[in-house]
Amino acid sequence: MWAKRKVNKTTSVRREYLARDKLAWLLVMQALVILPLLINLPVWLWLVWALAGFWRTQVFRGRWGAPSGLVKTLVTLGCAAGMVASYSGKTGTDTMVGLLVCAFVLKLLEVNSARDAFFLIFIGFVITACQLLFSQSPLAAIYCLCSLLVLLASWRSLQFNRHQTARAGIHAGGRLLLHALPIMLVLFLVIPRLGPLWAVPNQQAAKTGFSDSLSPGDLGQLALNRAPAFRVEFTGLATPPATNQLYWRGLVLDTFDGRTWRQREQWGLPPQADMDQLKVIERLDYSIILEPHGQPWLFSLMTPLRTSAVSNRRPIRITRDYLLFNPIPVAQRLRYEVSSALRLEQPVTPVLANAERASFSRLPARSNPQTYALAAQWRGEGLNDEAIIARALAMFTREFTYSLQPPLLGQHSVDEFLFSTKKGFCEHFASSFSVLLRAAGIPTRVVVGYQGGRWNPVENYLLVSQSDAHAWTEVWIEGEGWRSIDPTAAVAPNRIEQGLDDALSIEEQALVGNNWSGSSLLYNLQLRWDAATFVWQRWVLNYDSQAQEGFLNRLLGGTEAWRITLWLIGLGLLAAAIAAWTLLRSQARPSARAEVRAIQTLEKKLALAGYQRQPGETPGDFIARVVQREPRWQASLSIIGRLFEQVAYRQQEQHLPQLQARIRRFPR
Amino acid sequence: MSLATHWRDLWQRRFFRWIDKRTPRARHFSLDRNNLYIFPNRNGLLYLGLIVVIWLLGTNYQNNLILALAYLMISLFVVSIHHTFGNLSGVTVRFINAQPTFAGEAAVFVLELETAHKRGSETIELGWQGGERQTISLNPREPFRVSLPAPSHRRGYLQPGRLLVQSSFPLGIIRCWSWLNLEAVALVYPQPIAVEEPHHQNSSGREDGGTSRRGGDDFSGLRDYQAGDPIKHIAWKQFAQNKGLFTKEYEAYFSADKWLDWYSLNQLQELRLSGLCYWALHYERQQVPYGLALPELILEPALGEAHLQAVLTALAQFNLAPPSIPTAGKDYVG
Repeated sequence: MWAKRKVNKTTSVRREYLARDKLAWLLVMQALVILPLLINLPVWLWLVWALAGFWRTQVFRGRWGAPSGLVKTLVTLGCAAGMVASYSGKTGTDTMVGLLVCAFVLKLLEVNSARDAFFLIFIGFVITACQLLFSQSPLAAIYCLCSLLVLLASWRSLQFNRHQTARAGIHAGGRLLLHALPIMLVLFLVIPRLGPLWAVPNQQAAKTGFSDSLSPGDLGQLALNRAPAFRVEFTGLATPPATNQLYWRGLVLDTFDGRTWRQREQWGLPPQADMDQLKVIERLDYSIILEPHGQPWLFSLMTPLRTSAVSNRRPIRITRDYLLFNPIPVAQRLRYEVSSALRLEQPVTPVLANAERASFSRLPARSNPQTYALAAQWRGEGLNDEAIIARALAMFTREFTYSLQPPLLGQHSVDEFLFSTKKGFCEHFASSFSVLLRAAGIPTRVVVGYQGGRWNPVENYLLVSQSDAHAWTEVWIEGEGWRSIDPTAAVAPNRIEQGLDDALSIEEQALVGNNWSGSSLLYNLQLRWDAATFVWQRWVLNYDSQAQEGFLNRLLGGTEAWRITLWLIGLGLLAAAIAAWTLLRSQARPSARAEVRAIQTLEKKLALAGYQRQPGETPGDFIARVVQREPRWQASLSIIGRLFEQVAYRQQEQHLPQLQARIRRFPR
Repeated sequence: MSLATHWRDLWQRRFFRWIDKRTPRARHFSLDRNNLYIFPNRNGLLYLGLIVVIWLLGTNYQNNLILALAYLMISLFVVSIHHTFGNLSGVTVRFINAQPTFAGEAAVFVLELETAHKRGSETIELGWQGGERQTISLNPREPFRVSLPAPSHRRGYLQPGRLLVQSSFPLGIIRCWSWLNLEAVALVYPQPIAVEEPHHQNSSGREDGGTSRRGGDDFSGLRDYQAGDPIKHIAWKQFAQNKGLFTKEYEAYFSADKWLDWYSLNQLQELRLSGLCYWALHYERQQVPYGLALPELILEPALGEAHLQAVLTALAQFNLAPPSIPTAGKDYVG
């Protein structure tokens, strides 16, 4: 008898070591999470990862021993040396991510217990966040969600102590993720955004677009680049403004050394005119989402009156040259709003001081002699400023051609271009036109930026690409101020009206890989994809405190404290109602135990006769109470009561069918 | 005792007093919001710290997607509270029975668990307060029996204390648990201790029932020595030949019914019961009919499993009030 009877001995003891499927989940999770980062990591880290994964698998299969303390120390030291060598002591984002991935990979070697696995999962979350430091495109976000799904599935599998298929694991992880998304959405929409709490190591923003100097050939290279530069949304406009109005000014170059145009002074002064006093005839409001270009300048139409962007809490400045200047180089996608005056009653820059006039007309003494001579000849003919400008433009129209592959130019670049090659891209025209006018004593400057753009009718915005990079000239006209003159328009009006592709010859179109107007289906797909990207940037990536306030204003009708409180109370009541409903429903659910279900059937029958079991009353007490009132049921009810007691409390399951039959037959 | 542990003990006592008031003793429990408690565990607090780190990363880099990830993690925390609660709520625990045991050994309590959750309930830890834990999983609509041992120290009725039922499934950051005052009782027999054999008393009309053969020194064979065998019966010859320790058996041992007579021993109460227990087992093994004579109970000599149980039960219950028997109404949960 004291040989113990074994009762259903199917308990399992919590295992200290990781089971096969849990390890497999962790390996897959790790691979998925660090895969997008590998491009940014030194190659040797890949090898360490492969080795660690292989070693851990071999340990699991019992082929190799677990790495000893000495080996682990050596590997860690090796990786530390590798980190120092690869990042050479820089403390940037890359270094941080590299260190994290290194720790993540090495941890794999010693992941034995559930605690270690937890640790691995937690680093996985941080590394998933790091994925988003490097790319925030919609695709990157989808990938991030996928790796979160696997992360959740493997996290859950750590707690799961029986066998399950990978499919079931993914399903369960997906259920968790789906349940979490609505709350995330609400939090994302309503939690206030803060500015950066402290300075973080800046990401290495690759410089794209043009630089702060302009030599012949610089912009021609950009023409091959289809990458987006920025996207513009015009307030209250469903159709694009005329293309010849869209001169996006970025940078003003005013010093010429015979070949290259540069910036004389750095951004220093505020504008001369008092912005609030200007009388505006026609204005245009627009917002721009600028792709990071690693430069401090932003783009706007002449004449910007005010901007409303907050970039890291340091305001964007409008300079003396009516350019927008960001205090730090743009390393992340930046959204800013600008209000520009297209026409003004009086010029914003009415007078030019003598010193400035001299500097805007200055040319290097011994370069481009032919050009100087031509200008002197025109002056000798007694032409005034306007006539000289007209003569120069007429010359461009008559004798010059627009080409993406102009001949190379030597030391006297303007002379060679004007008098021998006569083929060029916009920077050749802008540069030579400015030099010619300066030689005639007219103050000029070269403006670099973008011209035109491609209208996207899906979301009604303008996409400006790198290939729209352009250079033109601003000429000082006495009494009028700076006037924009685009010599390229004189040579190739198509470039301005329709864009680069139409201005190029057929052969050169092939060169720039003209994929916009190829097949209409492809074109449509591209339009839609770019529109999706735009919406993503507009509503997700740039959902800042301003957008948040706007959204809440529209949703709730205001952002006053009482209004938000009322809404929160309302939402809370709704949630409480839903919770109460589900609770009631779950209580009404039939019990899993057959005898309880049977007795509930009996209760329903008695309820029809007007007897309700009180809360806290046992079925026995209840039956006794009914019998007292209804002696006619005494025989059947007392048998039912006894049977129920035997089944429910004495585990005499064999009486269950009889109990059910009696209750079915009741009140007979 | 440091102040911290003092406060912890105080807190624990208050907590259990509160729990005992909330969930009275019963044979059968259904876990629901009345008896389940939920709180983040240490991993959960670490996880909250992790959320702060990711939120800082997102805020400092002004990266909306990283902020969204931080919010998703907050949301997962909230969802995990619901999932963890849902996993345990709807589980029913009932006490089936307990195997009697001897004092000093572990008594095995058999519990039956069932879940009302349509996907089953995962990774539930079960254990008596202060005891070892077992981890089980429940399939939907499949009652599952668990044997939970609890150590016994003295004979009588063993009540193993509160039952801990807990789970932190699915993410392991939220702990949901319940302390159940399960009405479980196991009978604990006295620990068998060898004492001298009770006297053979031939008084008050109790005749030896068996055919008592004369002469208690007819040698009949050898058997393995057992603690408590009289020294004079040890087979010293065999011992000297290094064959091991044997006891000489004599016909007289088997010749008559034995009485486990309370008054024939003169130890203290518990030791006396232990001694009677020892001899009851001994006689049963030897297949010698034996009877029990306690101050208020007499069991006529007999043999067999049922008889042995009756005797041991009587010894276990000697001089003890029965434990509070569960009333039928308490364990009905509708």
